[in-house]
Amino acid sequence: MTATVLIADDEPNILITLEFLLQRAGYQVLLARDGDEALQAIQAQRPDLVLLDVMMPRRSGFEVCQAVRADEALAATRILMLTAKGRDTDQAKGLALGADAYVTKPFSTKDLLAQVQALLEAPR
Amino acid sequence: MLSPALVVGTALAYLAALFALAAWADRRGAAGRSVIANPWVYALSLGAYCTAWTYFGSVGRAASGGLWFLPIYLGPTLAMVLGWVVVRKMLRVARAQRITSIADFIASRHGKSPLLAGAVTLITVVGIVPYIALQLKAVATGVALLTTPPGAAAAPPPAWWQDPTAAVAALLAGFTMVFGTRHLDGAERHEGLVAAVAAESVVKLLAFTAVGVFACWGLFDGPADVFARAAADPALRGLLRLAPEGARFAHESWSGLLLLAGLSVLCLPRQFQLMVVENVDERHLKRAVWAFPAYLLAINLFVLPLALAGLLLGGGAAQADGFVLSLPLAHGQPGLALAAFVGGLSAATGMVVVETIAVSTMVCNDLVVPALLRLRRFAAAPAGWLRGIRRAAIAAVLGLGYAYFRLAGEAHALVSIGLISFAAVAQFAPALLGGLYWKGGTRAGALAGLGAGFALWAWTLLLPSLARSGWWPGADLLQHGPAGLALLRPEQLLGLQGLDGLTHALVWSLGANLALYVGVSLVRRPDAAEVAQALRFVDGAGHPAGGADAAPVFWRGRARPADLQALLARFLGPARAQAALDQHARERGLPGAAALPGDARLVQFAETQLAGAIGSATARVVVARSVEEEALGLDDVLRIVDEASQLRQYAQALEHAGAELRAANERLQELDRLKDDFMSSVTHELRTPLTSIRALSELMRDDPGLAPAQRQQFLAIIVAEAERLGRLVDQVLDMAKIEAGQADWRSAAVDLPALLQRAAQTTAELLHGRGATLVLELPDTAAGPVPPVLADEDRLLQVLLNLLSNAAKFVPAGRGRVVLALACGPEGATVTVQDNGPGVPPAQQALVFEKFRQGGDAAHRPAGTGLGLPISRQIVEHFGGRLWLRSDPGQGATFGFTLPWPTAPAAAPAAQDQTGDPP
Amino acid sequence: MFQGLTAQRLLALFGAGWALLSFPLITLWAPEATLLGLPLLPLAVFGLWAALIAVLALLVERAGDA
Repeated sequence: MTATVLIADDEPNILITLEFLLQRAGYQVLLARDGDEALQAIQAQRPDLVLLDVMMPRRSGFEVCQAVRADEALAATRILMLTAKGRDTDQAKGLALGADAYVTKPFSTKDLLAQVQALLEAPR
Repeated sequence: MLSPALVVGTALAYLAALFALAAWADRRGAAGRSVIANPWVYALSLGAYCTAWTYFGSVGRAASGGLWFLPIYLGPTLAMVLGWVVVRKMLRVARAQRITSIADFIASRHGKSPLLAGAVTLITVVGIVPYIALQLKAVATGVALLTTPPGAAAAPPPAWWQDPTAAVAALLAGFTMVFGTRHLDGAERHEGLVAAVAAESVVKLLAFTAVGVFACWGLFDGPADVFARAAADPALRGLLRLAPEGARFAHESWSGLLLLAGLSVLCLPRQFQLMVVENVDERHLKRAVWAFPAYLLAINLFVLPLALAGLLLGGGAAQADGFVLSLPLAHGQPGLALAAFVGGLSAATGMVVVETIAVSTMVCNDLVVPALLRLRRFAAAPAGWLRGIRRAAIAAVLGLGYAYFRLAGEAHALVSIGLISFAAVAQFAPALLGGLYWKGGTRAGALAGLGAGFALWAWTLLLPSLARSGWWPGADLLQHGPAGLALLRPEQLLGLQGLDGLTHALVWSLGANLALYVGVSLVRRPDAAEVAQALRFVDGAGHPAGGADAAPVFWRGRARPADLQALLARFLGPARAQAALDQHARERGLPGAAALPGDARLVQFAETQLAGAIGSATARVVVARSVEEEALGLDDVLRIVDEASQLRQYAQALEHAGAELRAANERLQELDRLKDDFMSSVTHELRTPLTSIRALSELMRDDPGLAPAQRQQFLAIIVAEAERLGRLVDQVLDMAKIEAGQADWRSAAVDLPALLQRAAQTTAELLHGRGATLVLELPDTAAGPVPPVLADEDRLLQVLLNLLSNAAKFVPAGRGRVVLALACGPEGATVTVQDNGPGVPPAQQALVFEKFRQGGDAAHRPAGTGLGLPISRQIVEHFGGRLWLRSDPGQGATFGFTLPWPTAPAAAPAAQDQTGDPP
Repeated sequence: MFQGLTAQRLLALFGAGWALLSFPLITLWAPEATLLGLPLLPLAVFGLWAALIAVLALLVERAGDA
């Protein structure tokens, strides 16, 4: 069965890019344009993995991550954080909040896919 | 004439009112709502300078000497000009050293010398007791004047137990005892007393002015009339000049009087008491320094008219002293005469009370207590004795004054005593002022100066006055000198001729005083005690009240705290001693008095506290007996001072450096934060388009079988993002250059209407694409062409395009309306871009001008860099203008900027300004 | 001793006052004349006196508390 991946990013071009990339890789893709949409979608549709941008309106990626990790029912959701911000404090923060992995933009498509695969196959 | 009962009754009623006022003021002071904490009260209390001698005697002097009564008031005015500097220093020192009197001040400064204190006290008694007698005499004369039927001979003086003046003196003694000896600690103020004195100043002024007004307008047609008639009268004309007809203006006498009066405003015990000892807040001095001279001016305004009026109406110059009373009385105003009498009574009683306090304090602290200390019996006496001694001294001083008054009668010795007293106390001036400003003054110098000054004063001034009143045997003393030695004639000493008696005496007494003070002080170096005190007085006055830690402590030895406490309890009372010690302990960070170590600071503290009660000289003696002291050598003192001042300097420098460091650190952290924020924003903005570009490129590279339509779409995105990236890089560079002052600015005449039209054309496509209309509003050219502004045309276009494209982003689709308008004002041109979009909430209105912030609804953040507005603002401000936003949410937004008209003619050709520093 | 602008101004005022209210400048007002119906000398002396006080008030009330 195919895994579902939610892509949350406010940049439309990135959404297009990631959607194409993941669909081509065979995953089922959901889209969210801001933090609230992302959280709602996670709660409603229970994707297996979330590609979470940090800088989003309404609710930042950190907040979404925190909310998801606070929710017992969503414990199985894997979170991969994406950001263009430069500080390693952000990376540490993301991991501390419970993200499973962290990727900085711009990323290599190969690397990203590899990470996604690894996360989805890892036992939980 | 008035009935004696009425006059005496009025006097007693007035004194009763004074008691009541003083009691009320004391109560308020105890309740914490002090009446004397007011600069006006302080200033008015100094009016005690004007005694009955001036109240009655000024008119007398004016009647015989014209304007020659004035220097006695001009002198203090000039002295007060310097008062703000000199007296303020004195106040600070007095507060720190707990000075109780002028004798205490001089003695404390010159090594806490008991001998000096005693000498000053004796001089004061000799000089002031007759002055007190003069006041009593004025009261007696006033009563007589009011109650003697016109034409009748003066009644013989009654026996002293029937004498109303005796009653007045007794009541004044009582008043002074009640309100002047409540507190023995120098830190407490005599609230009631000072309030009463201030009130009396007001009464004096009002009464005298009332009589003056009556004389000028009631008896004549105004002061001009009085003067005109006086000028017409050959006998009186001379009073309007500086010197009688044909005589030379005796300027040296005038100057002598100025100097004497100027010094006396500080040296008279009552003035020192009111100005220095009773001062509550040194800031009150600011008011007093000019208000007191103003008071003097006011009270002297009617002196000359009054004198002339009296003379014109038939009075003789000999009776001029009484004009204040006799004029209203003789011309049908008995009530006014009575009021004038009350005024004179005020003047007399104010002087007597304060002078008595001052003198009795000195007598108690510097004559009686030191003498008693020599008797072993006093060593065990309870503290209450101090108050008792004070009160006995008050009674003695007033008793002496009354006795002198009875004995002197009409003798010349009394009426001339005013200036003679001034000259006596003026002898304190060299030691007082010299001690305050010159560290070299020593005890020996002060004693020598005082001794010589007093001796010469007695010889040249006191003796002649006694001789003239027949009290001195050998009446030819003045003519031929003692034992026929003409050179030693009291009024032409060593052959100095041509000066009037007072000036002559001043020259010799003050001259010798000053010379010996300086000369003898220089003979020997000051010893340790003198240096210590000199430093405290001359240097220490810079730190008002504070720095208990910083002040050096000049003492070495051992002391037992219990001994010191017992000592304090003896003189201040056990409760007060305990309280003072507890306070001191708290200041040193200790829990209570019991924790105080028997160290130098405690001893110094105890000594200072005692000084407030018994004077520094006696306090020194008493403390020295109670503790084991090691004599400090001069070197020790200097070393202690050195260390203390070095420490102080280090502490200050450290403090400074610390503060600067902290400020610099905060600034750096702030900058760091800003830099971080900026860098982080920039990297984020740059990386976002790069992400799409790279990812899509990789997708296309890895999938050759991509559908052409899909490939086209991806390529379009890549191109768009690359452009976006390019724009961003451009803007970031632009911003950086502008902020670093490295941008290229060109300044030329810009035709605004044309520029606006260009901008409109350029953005027309963009706006049409959104379905918006653009309206261009330019000023009516009928009123003349729009003057050009000096700016960089390309940059201004950049600003316009930024504002217009922002407007285009935010107008509602389909029905957008953007208004681009130009208005010419008096200061400059105003360009506005108004859109009918959602507007900007007030909370965000400042934010939109920040870097990388984008306005609008967060969900629909349109494409943009967030740098457009900050750059636009920088551009506008570079050319001296302002970029602003006005918006009500829901009602659209108006961005506008103003540019000033050029001040120089705009015909200046394009100036290539390469440096680009912001103006 | 007299540091600070206020102190120096006061010193100057003192000098000016002494010079104006004493010999020799005070003899300026010696001639017998009247101004506003009042004789010159008393008027001048009181006027100068008032002016001196006014300047003093201005200087001192403006001075700082240091």
